[in-house]
Amino acid sequence: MLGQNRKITFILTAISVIIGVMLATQLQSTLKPEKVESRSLNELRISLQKEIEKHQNLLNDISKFEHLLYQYDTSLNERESISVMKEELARARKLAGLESAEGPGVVVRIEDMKLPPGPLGTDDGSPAGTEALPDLLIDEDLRWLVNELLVNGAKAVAINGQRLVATSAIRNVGQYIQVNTYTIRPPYEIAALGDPEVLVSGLKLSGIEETFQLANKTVVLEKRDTLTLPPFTGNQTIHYMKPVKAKGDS
Amino acid sequence: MRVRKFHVYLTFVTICTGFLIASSIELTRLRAMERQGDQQWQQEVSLNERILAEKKQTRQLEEDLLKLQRQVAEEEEKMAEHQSEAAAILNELEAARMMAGMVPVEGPGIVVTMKDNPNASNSGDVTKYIIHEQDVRLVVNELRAAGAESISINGQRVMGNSAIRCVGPTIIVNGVKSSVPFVISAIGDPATLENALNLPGGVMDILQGFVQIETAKKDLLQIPALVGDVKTQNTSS
Repeated sequence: MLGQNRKITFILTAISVIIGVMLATQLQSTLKPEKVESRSLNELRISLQKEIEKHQNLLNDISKFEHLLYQYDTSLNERESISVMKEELARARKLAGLESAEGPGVVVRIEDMKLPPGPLGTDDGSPAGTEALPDLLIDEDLRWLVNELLVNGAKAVAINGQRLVATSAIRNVGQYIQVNTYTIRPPYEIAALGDPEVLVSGLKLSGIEETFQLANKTVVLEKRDTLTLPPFTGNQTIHYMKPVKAKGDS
Repeated sequence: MRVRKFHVYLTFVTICTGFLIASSIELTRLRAMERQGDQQWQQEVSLNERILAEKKQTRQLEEDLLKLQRQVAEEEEKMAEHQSEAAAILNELEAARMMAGMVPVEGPGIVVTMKDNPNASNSGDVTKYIIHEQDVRLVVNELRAAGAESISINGQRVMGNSAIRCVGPTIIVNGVKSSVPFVISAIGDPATLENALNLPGGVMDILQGFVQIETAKKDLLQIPALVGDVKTQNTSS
């Protein structure tokens, strides 16, 4: 009788201890605050990094202009200073996309999608895969693609030999697409300078194949070790803008 | 009867002990977490301080750069006065610098302001009434097609290799984040630019029903130089 009583007591003790622990932990877990600090910390780190990057770039810019000023000051005669100016002109033209550019990069070819052979192809003996589907590609598709390339670090882009600069528009005109006011026709070939691995993986990640499939196009990505982009050849006249000279005079 | 009473007491006591043990364990853990949170907070503060210091420095550097650019321009103008060849090169150089975004520019143009529709949250399909990156691209593209010579979005010069990305209510241009409203400035013939946007079936027609978009002609507006973009720095060297 006594032994049985002890047993029951032990069991009861064990069970109630367990229940107590469970109750307590449950209570605590509902009160536990969410951890959000690490995320904002990360964001702060990123913005600090950006700021440091900007700092560095500014220093680079400054050192370039300082060097230029030094060269002007130390040039002994006019011919020398003119050659300095010409060098600076070449640098500016390169930055503006008025000179050809070279480097590693990728070529994106957008081709008409052929009807797949097999059950979807024609049954009457005519060769499958020759009939093209209707062309549904619009200007925004190309703008999107160019932007995706740039987001993934492309330094310069050309579409069918038309270099894209700050004034380049890509738009539908009639049934064709114009780039830099030149009409381009399919197949489209977009060349971009940048790290080929990063560009290709970035494009794949953003779903380039699916996007162009909707426009009945297939996409071929080619990595290139050296790629040459032509210079911008469009309209370069400037009517309205001029350099700001008065700023910071106070 | 006596035994049962004893059992009830025992149960009560053991539950209490269990609860106490567990809560004390939790409490020590919570304290440790608090300390960690404290540390994180301190880290945040110090990071914020560093960002502010860095921003101050970059502002100073920006001013230095502008000063230097003016000095260089003066030097070049002096040379241009003496020699006609230098004058010809200077013209080309100024144009190329403006096109490359190396110097801030000014001129007449228009300012396009885009905002999310204030009623977006009330409507059934919210995504229709907020600005997407393709909307911004559409406006920029139309302005370019209408002959805009220089464009900026929220103070960031838009070049041929500037990526435009929208993440939530923010827009990232040249890797620099800013939030709504999106202010797009474009230098060019104000009337032509505005008309191009207002064409029937054009950009305004497409967007106006969904988001808030306004245009304003300006006699003079300034667009800053491209600063802090790693990409152009790399291609230039």
